[in-house]
Amino acid sequence: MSRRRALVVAATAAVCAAGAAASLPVAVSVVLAVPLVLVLPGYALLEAIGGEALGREQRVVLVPALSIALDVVVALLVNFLPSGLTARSWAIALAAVVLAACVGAALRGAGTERAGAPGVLSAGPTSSRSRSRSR
Amino acid sequence: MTESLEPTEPLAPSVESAPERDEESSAPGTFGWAPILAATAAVGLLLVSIADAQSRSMTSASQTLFWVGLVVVYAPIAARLAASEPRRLERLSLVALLGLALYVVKVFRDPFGFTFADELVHAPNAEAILRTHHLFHANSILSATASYPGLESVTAALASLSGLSVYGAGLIVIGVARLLIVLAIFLLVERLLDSPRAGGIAVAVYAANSNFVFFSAQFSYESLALPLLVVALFAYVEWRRTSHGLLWASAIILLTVAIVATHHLTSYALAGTFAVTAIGYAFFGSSRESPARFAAFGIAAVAAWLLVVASATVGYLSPVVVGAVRSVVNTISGESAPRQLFAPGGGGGGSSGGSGPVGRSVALGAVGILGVLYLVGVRQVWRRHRGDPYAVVLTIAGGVVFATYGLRFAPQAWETANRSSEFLFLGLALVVPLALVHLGGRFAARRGFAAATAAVLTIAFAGGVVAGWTPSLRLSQPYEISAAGHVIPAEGRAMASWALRRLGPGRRYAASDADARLLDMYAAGFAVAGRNPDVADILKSPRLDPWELPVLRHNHLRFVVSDRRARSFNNTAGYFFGFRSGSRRDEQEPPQAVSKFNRFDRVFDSGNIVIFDLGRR
Repeated sequence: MSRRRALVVAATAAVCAAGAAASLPVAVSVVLAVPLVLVLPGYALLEAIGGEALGREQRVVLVPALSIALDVVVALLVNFLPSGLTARSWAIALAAVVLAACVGAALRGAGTERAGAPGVLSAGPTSSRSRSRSR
Repeated sequence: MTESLEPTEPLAPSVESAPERDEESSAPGTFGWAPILAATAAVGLLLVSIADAQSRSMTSASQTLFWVGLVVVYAPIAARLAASEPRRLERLSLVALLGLALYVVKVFRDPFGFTFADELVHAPNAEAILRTHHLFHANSILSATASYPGLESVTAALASLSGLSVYGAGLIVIGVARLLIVLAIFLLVERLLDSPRAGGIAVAVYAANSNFVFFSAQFSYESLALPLLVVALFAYVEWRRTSHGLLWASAIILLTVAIVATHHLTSYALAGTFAVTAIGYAFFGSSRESPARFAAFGIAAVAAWLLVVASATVGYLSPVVVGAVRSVVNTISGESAPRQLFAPGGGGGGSSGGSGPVGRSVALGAVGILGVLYLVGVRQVWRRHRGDPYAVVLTIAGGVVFATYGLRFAPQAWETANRSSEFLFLGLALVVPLALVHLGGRFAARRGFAAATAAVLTIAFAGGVVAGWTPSLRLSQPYEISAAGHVIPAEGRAMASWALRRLGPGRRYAASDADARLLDMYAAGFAVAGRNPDVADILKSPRLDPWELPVLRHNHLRFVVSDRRARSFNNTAGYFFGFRSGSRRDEQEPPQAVSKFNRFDRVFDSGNIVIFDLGRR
């Protein structure tokens, strides 16, 4: 993931978290909360562990699946905090997960750029074929 | 075409001819017929919604429109998925369309709130998280659910951040899960068989499992965990094909953790699948591709969760398994009468009417069709994929589906057999498409093969719906009545709302199965039902026997909710308005079942339901 894209994803998560934790109308809050809970955590994690090699359809499956998995793990951890699972703690925790993954993805992207490699940990015939099919 | 490959390429990876694959991979992706089939699916859903509206308003209980609507949704999509022409993007669009359209069928049935028995167990857990901001609250109906807070965590996150109700957030979460499972099945089978066409047919086959339309679409932990399991199975296929990528290994580990914290049986199924596949690799495959490490991690995670968090699960599952085994033995030995096939028990709440002869014929036909196709597919697996232990394990799982049909004769084993179908059908979703694509290769020159395939799949799908849900409850039931600007809820729901308002949250009740769920959900109460302790007999018996009050006192059940409607003891049918006349007239418990408590304070009386306060003692 490029540094610029990492910044955009992290900023989007911050905006979604701030908006969702605030008392906005439900119609607005839903638009902000759905990406924060079901999209951004998985997307950022995927980028941090080499997801740029994936095809679109693989991303469509992995992004929400990993987001849900991260939500579950975050809930188990935040549950031990005295404040527990409030809207604010959810927003902060999920935004922090996205931010951490974005930092990892940006560092990884910088590393692969320096090495001159295409930033693919799971490269292979499958991945390249997926891309050619989906694009 | 495929036959010609046999002598020289017995283990050829593909089920389609090379030219077909080449054309497919190089062709630009288009949606093809997907927009048109989305329109036909919308027409089908319109018909289903009309049938639901008529049933809800009590103007007609006919299921004709419902069935026509289902066929209009399913058959055209199945026909297109069976055809050889569609490109990959079109197939992906169609499987997503099929999964979501059939999910909407369940949403149309319950447009105002959760009314499935399991939903009214999980939704109170989510409400408790929102109320207290912490996990792991005691659940009075199914104590094991409190130890698996995965679904409720995600739902609570979405609800607290969006302001949606648990119902609204739950619909979104389960909808995403539905999308995940159909796409993951497509990708899994496509990768294993190297055929997008087989991947598309696999989803159509999987939709024929008896729980796809209703049970797996409900707000319940398995509805989320199972899609995550299929994603993990797909991730494993990618892991072994991509030089053990860190990405796929990380995905499997993270998904395993989430599944372990979400649903017991699904976590056992995941660890078991990896373990059995690893054993297969130990004997027949390359150890580099073995999922032994994932199996070890899964088993360790399951064991740790069971020991540290969810020890109550053993007490919950063991009676189910022991009861099923005992029931099978009793049925075989003739001590108990066999159960009528394809008369669903409705999630454990007792039957509310079986399928008619037409329904049973369709269901039996579906079993026969799937059985024949399975045998054809097994032959192809043996020819082309016998060197792949993973494909062999899934094939064997598909065969177990037919063994479980035998369990359906035993009354207490029915639910076990029915519940296993959504897991085992993953095997059929691999083998049956292999058979159909093979037959498609042999009969490609004949016109109408796709239509014939669609017809066969539609019968299998209809058979699944027949076998899966209580016939009288497939359509929406009267839940609220709007009159002169006022909304009148059904009697049990009104009682629960009153209890929250006047008695407050956290009260302990003895109640019938349906009323207990409503009290947990809408009164934030702790309502005990069923036979452990034996609340059901206490509420139904015409006189107050000496043992009954001590049981209530011992369990601190201060409030007794006495309900004369026999329906309220059915956890699938007890949430709706009843019928005062006609063939569906409500059965009533004897008046003494209520009047025996008259010496205690009567704090609520709505005609059929009375709440007695036994006092603080």
